[in-house]
Amino acid sequence: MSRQSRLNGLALMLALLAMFSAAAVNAAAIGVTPGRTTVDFEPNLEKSVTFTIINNDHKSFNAFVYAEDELKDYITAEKTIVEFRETDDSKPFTYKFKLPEKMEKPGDHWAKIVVMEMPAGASEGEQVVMATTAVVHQLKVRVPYPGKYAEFDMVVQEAGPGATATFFVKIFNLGTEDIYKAFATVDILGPTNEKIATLESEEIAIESKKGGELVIPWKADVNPGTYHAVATVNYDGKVGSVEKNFGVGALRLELLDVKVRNFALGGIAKFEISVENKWNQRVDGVYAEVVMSNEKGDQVASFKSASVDIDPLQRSALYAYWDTQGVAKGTYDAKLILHYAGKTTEKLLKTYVSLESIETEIVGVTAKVITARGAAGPGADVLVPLVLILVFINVGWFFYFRRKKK
Amino acid sequence: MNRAKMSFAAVNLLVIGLLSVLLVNLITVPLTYPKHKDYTTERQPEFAWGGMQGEYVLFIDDDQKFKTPATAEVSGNSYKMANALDFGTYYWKVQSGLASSEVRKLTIGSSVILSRSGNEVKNDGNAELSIHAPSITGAFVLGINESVEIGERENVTAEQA
Repeated sequence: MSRQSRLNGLALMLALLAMFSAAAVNAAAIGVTPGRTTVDFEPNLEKSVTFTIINNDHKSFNAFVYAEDELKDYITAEKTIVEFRETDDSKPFTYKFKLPEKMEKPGDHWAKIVVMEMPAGASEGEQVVMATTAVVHQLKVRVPYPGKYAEFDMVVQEAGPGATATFFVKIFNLGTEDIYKAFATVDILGPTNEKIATLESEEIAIESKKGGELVIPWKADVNPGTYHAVATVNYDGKVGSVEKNFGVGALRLELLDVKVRNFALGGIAKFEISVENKWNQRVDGVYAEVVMSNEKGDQVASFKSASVDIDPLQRSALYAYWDTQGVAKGTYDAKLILHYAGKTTEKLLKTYVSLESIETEIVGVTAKVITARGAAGPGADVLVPLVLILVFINVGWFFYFRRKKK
Repeated sequence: MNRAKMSFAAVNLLVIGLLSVLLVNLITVPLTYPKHKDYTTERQPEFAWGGMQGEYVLFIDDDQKFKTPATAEVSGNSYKMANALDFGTYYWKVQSGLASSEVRKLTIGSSVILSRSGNEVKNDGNAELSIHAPSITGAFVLGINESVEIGERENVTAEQA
């Protein structure tokens, strides 16, 4: 670094000062984007990299920037202090690196560009007593492995039951040699690790330092739930694997029925709420809340059931009790709210209360689907009538000329 | 007579021009956002386009030639990604029947944002963070929106995990 020795000195000074920091009440928010820049090693490679320093709290401060870690000596920067005011959202910061002729050890090598928040007004050389907050922009240099070497990742495009989920198996050829034939086998496992399906990909070739992707579709003819995919990648006789959990559909409980048996007005009504767990894993702590309103919309009662755990794909009953002392005969609107897994599902019930019975009817989901009508293409709404008008003018002219000829 | 003929020719030319614009308009899906070459830290970006109301297919790929795209069938003119995308550069386009859009490029970058209040530090970025502080031993990873307590007088550094 052209100013590296100075920077290192300053960094050391800050570290020492921080060690002796006496009192500092910290309220800070600092950021960088992107957090990482990745390059493949090439001898003597020179590049400029710009990242953005984020002033998340919109306050005045100075950002002190310096390099550390293995590759720090290959980093240079024009400046080391970036001043921020309250009005600054962010500021760019540019550094350069020049890699050496050789890097013997394969794998990842790093430089860390540390961005440290300092109080506004503090500058290089000034002694500051503070606890520091810093974020790092990483420079990652990938040195290829000799021969054939690959790393993998898998992304799953999830789908609902009966629809097609897609597995994207990414292969990064980090070796010095090309890969001529790479393919993957994906095993899909259920909640008890039982194998549900085995999928085969096509074969692809991947050049050295390049990436390839295998796309494997799967029709998810299974119950909603969480599943596990294990992709075994074979590349020119070598084998590796990557695994991931993925979901089919959404975690959902369905309200089946609400019944009240053996009821007499003025007594306790026992609501039996039947619920089905549509998910392939147990849902714990499920409970129902019922809010009763009269015809004017005034809330007359609110009561909850005890909570239960419902096994995968099983039905269960929740019991909620309503004291009907002082309640008049008539029709009530009830909002039934199911609480589970940190979310809620609401249904409306029409409840008919008579002297000896309570009848309930599930009204259904009250949500309305609102379809926003998309705008026509730019000018299409004007163009069509305009063209029609011009066509009519042309036809008029045509007949005018014909009559004139005669 | 000559003047009338010239007007006739001019109107005809205008009709041809307008019909051409209409045709192009009908076979092109105009994209709204994100803009071409946008950089964002939103990992579930929303894609929007114009055109008639109808069925569209959104294609997203990290390959410019769309060799292995992820697709989404959309009824309407926008789509928000259901799953978070990995950091990287993507290409996207929209098709509807014969109509197709241009190809746009979108880069999703990681953001390393650490906020600190008193003895609590919080990950306000979009990536998991490795936290380094004297009171934290070993590798400590802070998830998105998660926070951890450290000493008020401790130095803390965060980097992408």
